[in-house]
Amino acid sequence: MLEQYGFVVIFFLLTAVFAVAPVVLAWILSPKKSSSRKRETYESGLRTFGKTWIEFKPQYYLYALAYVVFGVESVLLLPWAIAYVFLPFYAVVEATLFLLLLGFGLVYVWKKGWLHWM
Amino acid sequence: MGFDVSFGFEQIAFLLTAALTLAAALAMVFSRQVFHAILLMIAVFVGVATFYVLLGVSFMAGMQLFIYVGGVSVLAVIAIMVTRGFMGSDRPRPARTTYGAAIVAGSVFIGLAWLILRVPWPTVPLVAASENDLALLGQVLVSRAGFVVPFELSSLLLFVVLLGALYIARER
Amino acid sequence: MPIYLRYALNSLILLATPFVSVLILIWVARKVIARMQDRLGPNNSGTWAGPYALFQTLADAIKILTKELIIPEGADLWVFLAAPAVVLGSALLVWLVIPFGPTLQGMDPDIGIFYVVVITPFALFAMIMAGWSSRNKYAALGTFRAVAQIISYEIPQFLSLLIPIMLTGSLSLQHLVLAQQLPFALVLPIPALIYFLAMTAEVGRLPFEQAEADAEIVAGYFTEYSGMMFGSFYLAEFINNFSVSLIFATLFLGGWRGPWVMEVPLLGPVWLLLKGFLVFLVLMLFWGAMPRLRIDQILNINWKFLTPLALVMLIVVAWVNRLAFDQGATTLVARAPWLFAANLVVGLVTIGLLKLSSQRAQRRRDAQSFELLRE
Repeated sequence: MLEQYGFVVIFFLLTAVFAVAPVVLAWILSPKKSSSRKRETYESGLRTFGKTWIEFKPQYYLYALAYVVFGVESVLLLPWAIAYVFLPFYAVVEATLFLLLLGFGLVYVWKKGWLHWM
Repeated sequence: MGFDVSFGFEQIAFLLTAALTLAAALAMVFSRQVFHAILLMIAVFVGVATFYVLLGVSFMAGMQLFIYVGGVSVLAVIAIMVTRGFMGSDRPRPARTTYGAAIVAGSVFIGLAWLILRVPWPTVPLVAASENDLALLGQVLVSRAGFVVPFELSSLLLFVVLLGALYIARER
Repeated sequence: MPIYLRYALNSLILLATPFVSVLILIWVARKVIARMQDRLGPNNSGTWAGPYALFQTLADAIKILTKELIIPEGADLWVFLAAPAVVLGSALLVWLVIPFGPTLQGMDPDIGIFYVVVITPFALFAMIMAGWSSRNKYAALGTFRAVAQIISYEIPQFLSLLIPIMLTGSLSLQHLVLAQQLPFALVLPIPALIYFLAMTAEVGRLPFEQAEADAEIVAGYFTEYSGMMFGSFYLAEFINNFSVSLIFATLFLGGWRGPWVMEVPLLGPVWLLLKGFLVFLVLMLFWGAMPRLRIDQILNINWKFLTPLALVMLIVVAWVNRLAFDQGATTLVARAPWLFAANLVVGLVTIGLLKLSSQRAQRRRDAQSFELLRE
């Protein structure tokens, strides 16, 4: 185990180096002629007007919520999926129950229109 | 309460991870911008995941990252974007409530530390970890003598959570 | 000390591979897209960049390295600068676990494929960091949609992933390859399809291209990035496309398996890279041939089609596989016809249901237009 961790640590460190290298390289090689016009926020060449505020739809939040719920479900299923080949028959029934319950939940929120994107 | 402090690779790894995680947590509590706080929170989650890996339960680490970094943090970011729009406003430091919060957190810490130090933790594992202990976890989770009832109940719980959360957040 | 040196060397080779392969793959992509659009793509005319312009990508890379890095005012400096590094880093981290051969792998952790799944949220956060720190309206729009898309498609991707895991009994990528006496794509076509579509959406390839959406919102979350910072995102995107193709090849196409692999182990990476390349080509074909879907279409496909289908497939495969096993079909090859038949049945039922629902939608539309005509 120790040796494996050593390799992983070295790999991670080198990945960090490779990840940062392009931008650092570019910083070294690129011209630095900054001007206030260049640093303006982009809006198709025009100056921005109005506060930089974005209208936000609650739908984004709903999808994140759905992700958390289904994510927890999927992760709970993971050990079952791994042990599946070794398990007796009732395990299949149990998992079916688990999945049906969640499937029902999905169908319910679908029919209620809560998954609808405006 | 005898500790066997051997100064090997594992100790160094643990101390390093602990130091980084605590630093991130402190930075998160004291940070001025909420968005930075969230990024630091992710760093703390990664630290916790690293602890799991060092303990040998890399599956828990994966779960931690998948749910907390992938789900909870994203939820938090979206919530921030709803309430703050763009200009990540600074939080005034420190507010009146901060001192109270610090006292509560401190007391909880002391209480937990005392408790943890007093409990005689078993040093021998309850179940022998075989070659494929993830499969073993799966078996324990679903077997009738195991955790099948909590397993199914958690599905029911998730169902309720899904319905409840989406009901509250629905488009009116 | 020498062992750490060996580790460093292996890591370097492992990390250099994506960069080198992307150099070639970007060229391939541009040629394929060009041909699909009835033009030539990079070629010998104009400034010389190698035979058939093979070095074009390298030339472009050198060019982009020398562009000025403009940082918009009001941008959150450290977050803004960190985002390209994070996205590139997360693209590279996956390469640790890709099995190139029976013994040719960076590391085979017991959480195997779960590790790959878990890297995605970090790329997602790089996107959020980029969109947020640019303080730009257009960047923000792109970010929200991309986030919604990516987290949504993680679910069917993960659920369909559970099916090969069920048949293997392990998360380890090597075990997944070894378990495929028959490629899982043949035995489980529908989960393979679900995974492929989900993975296309995850990497942001057409028809699921919300993150970039060229004509609509400029360049989405990386609007404000110039020079190599943008280059990092671009590089990360292609590296991701390739990694994801390799992972698909490992999971569903048999990975490094192929004729004569046991005798000549060095053929392992050859077969894997070949299969990965084929999957990559399919991604490119999608890119050239398909229009972009709207965000609501994308999300609907995920939650109302792929996720329920994945749930159904999980249940169906669990039952069929168990029944086949009890009937005495112990090896994968023996169970294959059962599983394939089950897939076929589910597929036909799904197509039937889709036809039904589209007929109903059509009837509703006809009724509506009839109402309008009457007035």
